[in-house]
Amino acid sequence: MNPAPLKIAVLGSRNRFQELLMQFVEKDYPAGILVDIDEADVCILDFDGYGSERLLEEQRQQRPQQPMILLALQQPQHDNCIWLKKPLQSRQLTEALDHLRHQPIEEDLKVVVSEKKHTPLHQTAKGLAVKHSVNHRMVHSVTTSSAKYYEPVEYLQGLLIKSYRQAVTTGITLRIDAGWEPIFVYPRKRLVWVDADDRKLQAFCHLTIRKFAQMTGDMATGPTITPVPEAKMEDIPDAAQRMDAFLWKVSWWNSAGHLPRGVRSSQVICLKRWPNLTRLWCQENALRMAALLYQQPMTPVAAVSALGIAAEEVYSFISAARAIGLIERIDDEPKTQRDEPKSAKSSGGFLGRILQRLRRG
Amino acid sequence: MAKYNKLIFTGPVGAGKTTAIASLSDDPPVRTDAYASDMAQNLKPETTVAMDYGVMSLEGGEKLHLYGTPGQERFDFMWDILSNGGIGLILLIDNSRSEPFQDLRFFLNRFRSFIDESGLVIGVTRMDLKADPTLDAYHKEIIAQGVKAPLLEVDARSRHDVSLLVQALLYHLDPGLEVEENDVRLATT
Repeated sequence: MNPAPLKIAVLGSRNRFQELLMQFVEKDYPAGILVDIDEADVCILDFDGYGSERLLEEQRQQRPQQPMILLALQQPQHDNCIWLKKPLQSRQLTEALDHLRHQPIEEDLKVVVSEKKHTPLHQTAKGLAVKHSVNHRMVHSVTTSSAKYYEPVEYLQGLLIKSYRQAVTTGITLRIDAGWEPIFVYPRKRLVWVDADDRKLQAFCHLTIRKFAQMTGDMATGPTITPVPEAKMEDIPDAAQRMDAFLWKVSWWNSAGHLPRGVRSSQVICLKRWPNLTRLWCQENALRMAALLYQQPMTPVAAVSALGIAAEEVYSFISAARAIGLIERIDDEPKTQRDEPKSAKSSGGFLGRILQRLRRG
Repeated sequence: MAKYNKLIFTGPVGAGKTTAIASLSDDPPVRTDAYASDMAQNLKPETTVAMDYGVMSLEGGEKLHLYGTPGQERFDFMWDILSNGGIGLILLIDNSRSEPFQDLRFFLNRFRSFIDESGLVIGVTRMDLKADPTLDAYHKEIIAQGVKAPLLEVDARSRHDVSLLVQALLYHLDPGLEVEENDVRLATT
């Protein structure tokens, strides 16, 4: 059974782009009908248009459950909105609308554009000469679904960074109590020790410090950082870990696939240097991510597109790299950022066979 | 015409080139060691005089040849011969030596044209014996030399480390490299 037609409202001040969108819905999207805002299942808003922020805010207040598709050059910082990157392609919009038509509205939307030539919207909606260029190189472009963010200071990551700073400045051993196993920081040896294996640590990293305290019923005392000046170097357990390696994996797990606040998915970033991956906990694609972000400044979203791997993996990598000070934010938009991301996938021939052999052991 | 099917390991005496090749090679590497009669004997009794050679067999019967250059400068006539047709350079620097940056600069300059034509990865060995200079300091130094390359701490005896170092070089040459199998994962320790 076919779902009912999707009721679509196009918001914003009248301009040629908006007319183009309306014409697209009327002529080229037979599964949808144009309606007024009050009847709409979904709204489309040109987010680069005049007054769009205000319009979005009004909509969110009046119709908080209504799905919203934002068309914009840069990813807007709004949760629960679907972002379609300009230059817009008719296929992207069709896929986004189809998805909404078939899926419950609460679900996050990710539209993956496959590798093929797309029809530009300006060609689809005949008669209107709006210039929207086509990018034939775009592969696996994650064009929608706002990235999710987390606040590092609410997690062990934030507590560690604060402790490291204090320990390195004073040179005094510190004990961190966060309602869990105590963690000791030995700044002179640049080591950390906790009496827990990675499995336990990873489980702890899934929760904010506050939520963990709620679960254990210990809300009275917050996390504490206590100097242990009498600690001796010879007392450091053999199982102590390097400070940077410990912070790296904690940040990776705290991230849980989200970007840390302070790194927008549309922010151009790069790696200052390669993470020391021979000494860090790392996932299968860590080397690829390091190579790409070291060679070429780009946005996290562009990195996801170029690598063709799960956004969550890229975002966790960025979070871990940022925690140990390896992420640089590029304020001036570089030339590379204006280009659409090139696909960084290749079978590699001889190099690929070397890689295969090395990984096999 | 050169066949691009070899990796070149270089670096100063005692940096771990022979050991690194041994950790990757399918067969025990061919070595051309001689008793050191010069200052190298302070570092180790035997030193490579012509080259080290190892090999890795790849799928489809191809072979990747692993060449190690002699560490001493008086054998540097071998360096160009060996690096001809190389995919990339693996530069190992011994952090416990008195002037590791001097070594770094020397080898970067000496292999500059080869690096420009191929790729480079730098492995810093013996950081467990001497932690300074740090990787951050190395990075600043290579940037000052106009080089952009992966830089990792390695133990040349560890196959895991040397393998990751070579993988870093491969991804540096082509970040898009992929292997088909789903069951091969990075060994992590």
